This record gives sequence, structure tokens and C-alpha cells, in this order.
Amino acid sequence: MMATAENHWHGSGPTTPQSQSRSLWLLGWLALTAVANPAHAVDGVVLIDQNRALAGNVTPGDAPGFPVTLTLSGSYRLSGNLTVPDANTSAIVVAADVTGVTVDLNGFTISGPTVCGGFPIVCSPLGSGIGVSAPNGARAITVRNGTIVGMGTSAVQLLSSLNTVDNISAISNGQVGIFASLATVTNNRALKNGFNGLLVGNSVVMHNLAVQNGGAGIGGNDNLIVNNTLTVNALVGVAAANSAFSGNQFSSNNGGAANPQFSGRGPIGPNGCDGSVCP
Amino acid sequence: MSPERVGEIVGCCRATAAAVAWALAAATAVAVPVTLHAAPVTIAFSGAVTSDPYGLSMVGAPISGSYTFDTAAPDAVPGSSIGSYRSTGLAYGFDALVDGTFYSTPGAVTVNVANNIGSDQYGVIGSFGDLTLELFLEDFSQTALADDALPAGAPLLAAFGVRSFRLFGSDAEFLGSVDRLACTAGCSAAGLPEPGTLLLVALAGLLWCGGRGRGTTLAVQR
Repeated sequence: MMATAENHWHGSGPTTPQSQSRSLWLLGWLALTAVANPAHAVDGVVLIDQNRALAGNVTPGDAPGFPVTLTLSGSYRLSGNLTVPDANTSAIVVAADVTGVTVDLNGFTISGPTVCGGFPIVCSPLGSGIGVSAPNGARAITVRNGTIVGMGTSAVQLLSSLNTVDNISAISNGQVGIFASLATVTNNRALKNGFNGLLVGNSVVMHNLAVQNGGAGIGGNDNLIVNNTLTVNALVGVAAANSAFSGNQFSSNNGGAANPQFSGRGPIGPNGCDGSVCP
Repeated sequence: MSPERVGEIVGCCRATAAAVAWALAAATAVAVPVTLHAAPVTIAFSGAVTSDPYGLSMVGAPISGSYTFDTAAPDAVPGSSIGSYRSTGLAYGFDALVDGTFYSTPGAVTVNVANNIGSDQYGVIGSFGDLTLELFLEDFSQTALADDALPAGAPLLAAFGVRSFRLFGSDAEFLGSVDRLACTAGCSAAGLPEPGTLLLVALAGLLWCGGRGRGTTLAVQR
């Protein structure tokens, strides 16, 4: 590689019109083909890791560095951990006009610098960073199978419709663990986030665990909330206006078992409060 | 103090002054080509396969290769904690030999550097068609790198706890360890001390010489 470089850069090799033409053709071919193509796994899923995130062009228009911007529908899978540099930086952002994206964290972790601790919980530094976000207009977004820790705002924020969040551990994020609308939110764990563990609207929320969050375990409007476990959250376990819930287990939320464990519309079925059926 | 001793000191100071002049000239000579001119540098590496999910080889099979980048490649990421340096052209690329099979991503290579983002990271990635070659080093003690500047030579491998090689293709996938990393071409600039280090040496020499000079004057007056 070096010899080729020196010949071209210093003109030390024999140069003919034919070789010049061949070099120009080769340069053009490389320019067309040697752009940083997104890496695909054998199954065709686009792989993302720290190297690819920083290099850019995971999808067309994705600039080097964070966030990784997904401008095409499809399946994406982490092949390594991602680390953002500060609390104001997001890791993965789905572009506003994209429908149908699956981001599989594949057991890996997206991490930022925010740390939450103490009682009541205080998070620092706060910022605008989100682990995986999709704005209004980006629909049918799925995020699953991994951990998102220390983001300035939220682990997951999906603002449009037909979304799915499954098997995500949202830990020590500045405000909300998982923020989703018109979504199916299942099998997630929200621990020590600055405000609500889950903030959801018009969603089905099942089999989640919310522990020691700075707000409610689960908050939001117009949800079906079933079979979740809400423990030692600073406010009530479930604060869900116009929602129906049953089968949830509440323990020591809102300052202790003597205080209300949930608010909003009455339950449609039995829930457990500190080992007994909730009143 | 004897006149001979004074002469030794003066001669020493002349020698120090010459060394200072050399250091300043060397610092200038190093700084100018590194910062103003493209300088292809080739880093070679070797290691072993640690994961072969598609059974094309076997765990422990040898990996070797090299990547060539431009020390003058611009940083595409604003800010002081992350740098991404893409070198494009025929001189640049990433090659790897995995258990006897050659893989190459010619025409471009990107070196990524991250400093104090929870870890220090040094990554290299080359892509061509469906093939991606990667090298990734990570130090969770955050002492391996001083900033997000592009290292002109090979980073100190021992400073990184995570040392991995990755290959992803349409019909192949390997993960591997990296146990050797060395600059093999274009290393002259990378092998010299940084200009700032040379300037510090020069300044120390001047201070030492000045201190010895004052001592000589006092000794003569007595």
C-alpha cells in the first residue's frame, strides 16, 4: 500500500497515458464503491457499534459521531456497546419520516454520563440525550433486548404510534426511563431514573418492573396496565389517569405502604399492595 | 572554582545551547509536516480468532493485518472528546489475513478516537461492499489517550484493556483478539517525541544552563 502511495504522490514510478487513465478509472471506481457502507450481519441486519457510530453513514445522511441517525426502514442490531460523550448527546435517532424500524440492542448497553442516586433521587448531569428516540412521524418503532444507562433525559423516547419497547433495562437516566405513546411496553425494568420509570400514553403496559424511580413507577393516560411490579418509587406506583389496571404488585411506593399506592381510574381487577389485596 | 571548571561549565552550556537549538529545529521540523502535509502511516497488528459463529475457521486461528491512514485527515466530529478521521485515496485502507484468507477494504479507512467518555477508545474501521474490518481498543481507566487527536503512530496496546478485531461480511464473521500493534511504515514522525515534549526539553536545558551560569559567576567573585 505504501509503495502505491509513494508512486502516486511523488511520481517516482513510470507514468504513461495508459497508466494515468487506469489510475483515474480506479480512483473513480473507488469513489463510487469505497464509501463507508453500512455493515450487515450475515442475516442482512445492519450492525451498529461504537466504531460505526463514530465513522458515520450507518444509513445515508448519518453524520460521523453521535447520534446515529437511521433514515431507512429496517432492522438494526448492536454488535457492541455504545457510549455517548455527554448528557446532551443521543445515541440513536430515527428520522422523522421513517416507518418500520427495529433496534435490537442484542444484549449490549448504551451508556451516558448521568448518575442518579440519593433519596429523593437526584440525577447529574441532566441534559437532552436519549438512548433511542423517534420523534413524531416516525412510526412502528421497536426497541428491545438491552440496557440503556446514564442518558441525560431518557433511555427510550418514542413519540408517534405503533411502537414496541420490550426487554429494556432503563437505569439511572436523568428524567424518564421509558417514554412511549401508542405502544406495547413489556418486560422492561426501570431503575433509579430521575422521574417516572415509565411514562406511557394509550399503551398496553405489561410485566414491567419499576423500582426506586424519582416519580411514579408508571405514569400517563389511557393505558391498560397489567401484571407490573412497582416498588419503592418516590410517588405512587401507578399514576395513570383514565387507565385500567389489574394484577399489579405495589410495594412501599409514595413514602410507604400506609400511603396511596396508585391514582387514576379504579382498578378493573385485583392488585396487590405489600402482600395483600389492595383496598 | 578553577578556570578549567569554569571552562567546562561554559562549554557545557554551549553544548546545551546547541542541543536546545537542535530541539527547537526538530520540534519545528516535526510539527510542520505532521500538521500541514498528508503523511501515510501504516500500522500492523496480529492476534487470534476468538469467535467464529459461522464455522469458517476455528478459535485460536491467527489473524494479522494492517491499516494505512493519513495523519492529516480532518476531524469530522466537533468537540473535544471524540474525533473521527477518515482517510480516502488509493494509499489508504485496511487489510486482514484471517487463518490464511485475505480480506481487504481499500480506498478509505476511518480512525476514531474518544477521550474520557467513560472510557478512552481507539477504533479503526474500513468498509468495502459488504465487508467491514474493525479494530477496537478501549481503556476504562481513561488514561490511555490524552485527547481526541489522531495519534500519528500506533497507540500503546498495553494501555487498553479491550483489544478486539472484528470482521463482518456477507458470508463471514469473525471476532478476534489483538496482541500486537506496531507502526511499520511512515513512522518517522510518529517515532519522535511530540513537538511540545521537545520544547519542554529545550526549556529545561535553558533553565539548567542559566542556573549553572549564575553559580559560576558567584564562584568567580569569591
